[in-house]
Amino acid sequence: MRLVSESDQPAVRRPTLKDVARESGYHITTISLALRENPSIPVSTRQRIMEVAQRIGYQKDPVYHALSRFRQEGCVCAPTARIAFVENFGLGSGRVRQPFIQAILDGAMSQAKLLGYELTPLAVGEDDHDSHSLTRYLTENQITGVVLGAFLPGFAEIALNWDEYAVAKIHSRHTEPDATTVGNDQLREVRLAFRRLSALGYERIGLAIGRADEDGCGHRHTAGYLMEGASISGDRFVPPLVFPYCSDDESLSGMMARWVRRHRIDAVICNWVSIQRMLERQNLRVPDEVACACLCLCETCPPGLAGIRPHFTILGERAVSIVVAQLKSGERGLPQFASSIYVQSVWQDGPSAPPRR
Amino acid sequence: MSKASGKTDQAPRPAASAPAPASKRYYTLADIAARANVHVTTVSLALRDHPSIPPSTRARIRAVAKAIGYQRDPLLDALNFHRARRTKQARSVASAFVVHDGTTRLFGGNHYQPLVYAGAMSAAEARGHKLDVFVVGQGHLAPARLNTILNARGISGVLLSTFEIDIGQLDLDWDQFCAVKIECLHLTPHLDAVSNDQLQVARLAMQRLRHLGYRRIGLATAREDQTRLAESFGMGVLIEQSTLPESECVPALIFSLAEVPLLPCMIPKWMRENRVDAIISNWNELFDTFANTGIRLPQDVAFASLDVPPSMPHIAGVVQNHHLVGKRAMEQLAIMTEAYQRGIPEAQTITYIPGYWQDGVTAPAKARR
Repeated sequence: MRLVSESDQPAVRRPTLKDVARESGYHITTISLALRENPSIPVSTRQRIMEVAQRIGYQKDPVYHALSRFRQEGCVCAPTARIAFVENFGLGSGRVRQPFIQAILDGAMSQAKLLGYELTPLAVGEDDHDSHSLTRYLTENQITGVVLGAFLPGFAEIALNWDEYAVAKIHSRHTEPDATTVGNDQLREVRLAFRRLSALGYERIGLAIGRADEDGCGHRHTAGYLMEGASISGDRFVPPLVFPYCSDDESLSGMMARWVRRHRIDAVICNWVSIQRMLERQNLRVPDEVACACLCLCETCPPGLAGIRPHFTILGERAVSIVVAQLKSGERGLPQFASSIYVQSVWQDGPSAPPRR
Repeated sequence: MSKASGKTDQAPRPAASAPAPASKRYYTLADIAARANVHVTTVSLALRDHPSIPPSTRARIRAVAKAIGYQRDPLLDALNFHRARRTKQARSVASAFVVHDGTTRLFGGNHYQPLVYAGAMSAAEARGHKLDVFVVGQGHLAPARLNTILNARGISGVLLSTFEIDIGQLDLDWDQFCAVKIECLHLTPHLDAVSNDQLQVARLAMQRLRHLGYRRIGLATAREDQTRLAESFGMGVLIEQSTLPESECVPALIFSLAEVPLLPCMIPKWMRENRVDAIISNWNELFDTFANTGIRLPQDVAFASLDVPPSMPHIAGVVQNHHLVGKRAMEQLAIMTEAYQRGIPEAQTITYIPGYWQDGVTAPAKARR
């Protein structure tokens, strides 16, 4: 695997037309014409020059190409540079984009536009692209910047030749590649929610989290929860409810209600926005019998929910900025040590978790 | 974007009133300048939100840019980036590397600070920035004095390197500065920060030691370090232990700095009571404790450092990328300085850099029984 060079030296000088001229013995103008397949150059000569160009690794540099077009015509005719935003939740199979992914995409879109790029959402999945067709699409459209936008565990995955792309991931810790990853800080969010609920007077606080979401973020929800749990007395610690892949509101609400009753929980922290509805469906009155806080508040959430409001649009913005920085400097491939970037979130009070008397 | 206005000025520019040719499909800063009746450098600064341009002027120029459909060109952006790198420019952008005088204790032998600084320096040099060191604290600069000096020297970029936990706050007039913190997550204000990923470091050490055959692995660290690093070591151990049988979970030994002289008693007692077969710690000073109390490595207990210094290539543990931490912090600061992002951000971001495992004589593979 080719690694991005850690030194800040400019890369080895790339071959130019001059080098092809020196290698092949023709004049530089001949080279220029030949490589553009100008009929004034004999076919055999063109052939020879192209072979030399290929051998020494001459490649047209789109940047210089654009510049010379611009100088000649005052107009850059190259198509707008594009970045791919790849999603795997099954768009083609009829599933809808979840609000948080939409928010991430919105942020990525606006940042790309600001930096002069066009962001193209591309779906992978059973009814969408596979690795093969995605590679072909990216090649045909000369897309070398890729954002993996919140891949959901349990859905399709892709394998590209990562060496050829500038990549950033949003969440998606369960899947390759080991690229720079942007996410909201679930670990600190759980700790923040836990502390806030404690301060509001709740004593038996429980964390309910999807196994898929845990795998996607590298188990950072439970890490934060265990740390907070370690600072309270052992009998007050509630084992977290890590519910299975592909749970739906119905099966989960029953599981959740049994867990709440079994452990006499007075406040539930959950990352699903339907948390309050699920509790009420099982005749648990919110907030009289049990309070709840959502870790994933966004615009489309039911009103009145207390919880954490992550800056999803900023995740999209940051991921695009990272890819653009790599495109700009010509870096491709994966870093030797992939950093993780966490955007911090804020707590929001709400009627679903009022101060306890 | 482009600052090359001086050269292009030789070509006659259209008068402010002259409309651009109807066929023109590509607009430059000069077109905006002509229409807004300001100099092209003003346009450049305004579109990058430079504070030296009055907000009303910025808004007006933005409106003009939008009206004629100006768009940044990523290709020319990339070209500029490469040109700026190849041509050595006499740029005199200076940034400050602020350290606290009390941090010499941290990270045994203090290999930490020099590596972070070297990393930051390499990133600064690559961009033609200078990086000046300032020391704050008792007998050194007071924050207000630092503020004055930075202003006087025209320094707007500030890197805050590791601070002791008893310094909870650093009072600079943050609206004037672009700033990135290195590792001191406890320090307010909540600026963007770059840190070693201690959570990953602790998890990696646990995983590798288990792979080598150790089963009762204990963490020993100082309470002050836990606080300073937002309990990341402890959390890493807890999350690994959550999937282990209870018989393989050793409670961590957390001592305060005041208790360090008592370590020769505390360590053997803790080892005995918990039947510890491997110790992980960021305290490389424990080697002295082991020597003084007659504990033999690795016969009596294995040891993996959570912060292997370059001077100890033979010991087992996780090497933290201090150099990369400094480099990334400076890179981020440079981006912020160029975009004039001053003040405390709306949403703080923290960047974590992972460490990597190194095998060593202090933790050989355990013979399977």
